[in-house]
Amino acid sequence: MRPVLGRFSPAIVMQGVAACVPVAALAVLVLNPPRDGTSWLTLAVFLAAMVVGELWSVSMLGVREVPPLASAAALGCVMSSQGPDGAMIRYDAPIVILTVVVAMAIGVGVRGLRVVPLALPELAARIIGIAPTVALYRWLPLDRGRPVGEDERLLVEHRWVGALVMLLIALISLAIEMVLSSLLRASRDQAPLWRSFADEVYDVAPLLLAIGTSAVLIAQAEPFLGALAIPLFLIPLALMQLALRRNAATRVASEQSIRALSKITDISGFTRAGHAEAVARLAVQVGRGLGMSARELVDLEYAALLHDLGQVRLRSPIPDGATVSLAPADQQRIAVEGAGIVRRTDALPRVATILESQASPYHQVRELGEPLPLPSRIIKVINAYEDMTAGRSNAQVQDAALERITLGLGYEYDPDVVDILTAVLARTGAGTAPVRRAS
Amino acid sequence: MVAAFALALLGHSLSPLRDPTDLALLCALGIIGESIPESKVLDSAALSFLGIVTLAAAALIGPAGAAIVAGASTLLPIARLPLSARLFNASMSALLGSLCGLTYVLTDGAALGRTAVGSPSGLLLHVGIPMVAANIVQVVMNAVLLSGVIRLTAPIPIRENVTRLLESSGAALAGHGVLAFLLVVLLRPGALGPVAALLIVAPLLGAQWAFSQLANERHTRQGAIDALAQVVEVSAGADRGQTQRVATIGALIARNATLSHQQVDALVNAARLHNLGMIGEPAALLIRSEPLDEVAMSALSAHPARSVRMIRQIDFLSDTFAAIRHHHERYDGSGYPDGLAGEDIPVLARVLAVADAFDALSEPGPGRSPLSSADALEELAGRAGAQLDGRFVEALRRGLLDAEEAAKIEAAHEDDPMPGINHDDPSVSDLLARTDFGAATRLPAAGRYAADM
Repeated sequence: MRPVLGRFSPAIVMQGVAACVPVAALAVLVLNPPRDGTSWLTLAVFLAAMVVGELWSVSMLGVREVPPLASAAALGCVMSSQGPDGAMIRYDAPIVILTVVVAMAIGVGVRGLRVVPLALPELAARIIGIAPTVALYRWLPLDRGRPVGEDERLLVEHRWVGALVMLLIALISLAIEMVLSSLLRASRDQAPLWRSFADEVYDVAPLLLAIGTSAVLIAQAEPFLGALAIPLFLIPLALMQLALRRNAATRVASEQSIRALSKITDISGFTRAGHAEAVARLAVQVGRGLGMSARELVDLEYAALLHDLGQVRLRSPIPDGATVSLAPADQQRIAVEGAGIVRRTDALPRVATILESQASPYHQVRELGEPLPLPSRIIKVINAYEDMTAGRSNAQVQDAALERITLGLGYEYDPDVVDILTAVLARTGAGTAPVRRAS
Repeated sequence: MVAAFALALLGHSLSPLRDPTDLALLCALGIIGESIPESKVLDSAALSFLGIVTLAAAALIGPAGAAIVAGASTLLPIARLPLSARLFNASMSALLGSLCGLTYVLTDGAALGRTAVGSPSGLLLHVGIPMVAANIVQVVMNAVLLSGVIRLTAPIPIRENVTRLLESSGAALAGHGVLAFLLVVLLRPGALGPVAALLIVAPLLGAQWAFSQLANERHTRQGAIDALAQVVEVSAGADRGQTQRVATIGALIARNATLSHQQVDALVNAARLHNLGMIGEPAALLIRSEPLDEVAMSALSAHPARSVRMIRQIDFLSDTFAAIRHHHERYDGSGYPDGLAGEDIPVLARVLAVADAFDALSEPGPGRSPLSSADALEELAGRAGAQLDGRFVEALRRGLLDAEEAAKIEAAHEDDPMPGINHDDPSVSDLLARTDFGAATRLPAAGRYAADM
């Protein structure tokens, strides 16, 4: 698969555009100095909230890191227009953009000090996402020459209409961020764009919706609570974030447990150390290329890690733990034993289903009309490949393994899976010579 | 129910009902919120819309209004409970609602009319603080009422239950006061009407969504632990259900020795996984006869550390490592792998040792048939101070006095005895206590974890 934007990767393009945004804002600011009565205090509170939020992000199902409090504070900052006692909150569009960028920069600085991995392209996507909102709300004269942010009919007389308009503008910004973020991920993971976007919608959109409404709530409550509205109306979002972080921590615990389970066969001498890990790594890459969703990939990874679990029932280990050289009936028995262990826990039914079919040859799909789950077909191919190469990264060995798998194409192995595997191997620099497929 | 009515009337006389549109809006919000299926995460007590709308009603409409909103939100949602239960719950909610409303009035809460707009500090002082007071009353009284109801069906003292409820859910419930305050600000001075409800519900639903996912994630995590325990049972020589049985016995001991919830949870996990290290060690699994041969002995002496090695990358199990490593230590210091004695043996390891021994005795052993609970207890009592910590043998005896618990443990046995001798049998422990494993297997105490990692 080619990068989406010709020779330039989306990440580089986005970072370039994002870098232009604060520069342009600065230029505008120099030409039009801030007007009198700029509400510096409110800005300072927003800046503080954004900085705190930048440092407290949450990982959404491995899709991406989102800093909900920072995003909500930034959007709230964009849409603040009225303080207590009817005073207007005044600051211009460029100042808002610079505040947001400064907060991100401080966040990056502090995270850099604590050696937290940075995601600069994601930051770029957020800057590009917020810029149109600032323009729409504080700059673009929509009604009688005034932008929404200075329209008293919306802000004072018909407050609820104003609230809905604000919500719409916030959602536009977040939608732009979603599209950009899926572009980034699609190009980084070599996954189809539609799949990255669907993952965003399923797994990130609820959080973004909560971020958008929190921002509107802040802006709407400021006339009554002043700057106090900022921390207070971030509380519901913080609560959600707390739950999401616990989710992430529990997910890590599950993954660690599954990995421990997969290592048991290594430690007890049934399987070659690192085999399951290698199969899982490759299987996830191939699954991504085939357009599997983030959730399906988790199941695939778990099943790949546990694919040799059934060997714990063996009386004595098989050579190297390599199931590829076993008779089909024995392969099947190990698959069923492993699936049985997982099935009895009744918490991982999908993983058990994948394990059950992992030894079935592909021709069953065609000849007997037996549907085989895609993850099972992936594991069958990757397991064979990994058993044959035995973890060696020597190009010749890898080509020979692919050659052997190609011989079983259509009968034993799913050709689509083998195609993507070949592409993945070619991309990661392993297996230099592309395998010729007789077609 | 009578009490709820009386309190609502009293509240009404102090501060009459105001504003029917707010009443309708809050009722609708409460009913919709309560119709959403509850998240399965019990200990984190996900948000309840009921608590929030009740508090908001207390401030906006007064005590009687709070009672009506709370009652309606409990009574009317799409039913999953029989009508009588819902009526009972509704009167409980209404009672709590009027209490909240009264608290709000008595703590100088401002009666928020249509035009009440104050400065930020005025809002905080005359709306925010009274609402927090009402929130505290709500949380505490809820725990008291709930414990009272539980007391009717189970013999758990009210005070113990109240503390447990407050500990587990108090902090989360306290958030309701803040959220209700936000809702009141948007509804009254903000005059946003239904849009306010829409806006505040979005992040709340988001939080609910996140909590429901948390329940799924926990289920998966438990599944992974169960799978590990399954592996112990299918391949480490434990019979079907043994790990669960030891976990049940261990939990019974721990509760009766008044260990904390966290310790009970850790013990359950430790009990399920403590024999992982026996996987792939046929020599240690099939002890056919005494004396033990050297292979079996070295496998046996290594299995506690091996078990820890198999799970040590699982961070959330770190509180089980000590229990697993030391579950074959003996109180007199003649156990393995480190020869710790008395109080030097980690608490959970001492509990686990008692549970293991009790369970092994209730299965057929070398040259004996299964012992009854009473006989097994007597045998264990004889070993207090030598092999076991007498305090936990005593705790087990107390626990088994409860017929229900005893029956549960009795029923867990299946007619599926394992081949060979269970290494957890006390006689094997005696045998090993008389044997010297040699200096090689015994590490200096200070370095024991370092050597493992």
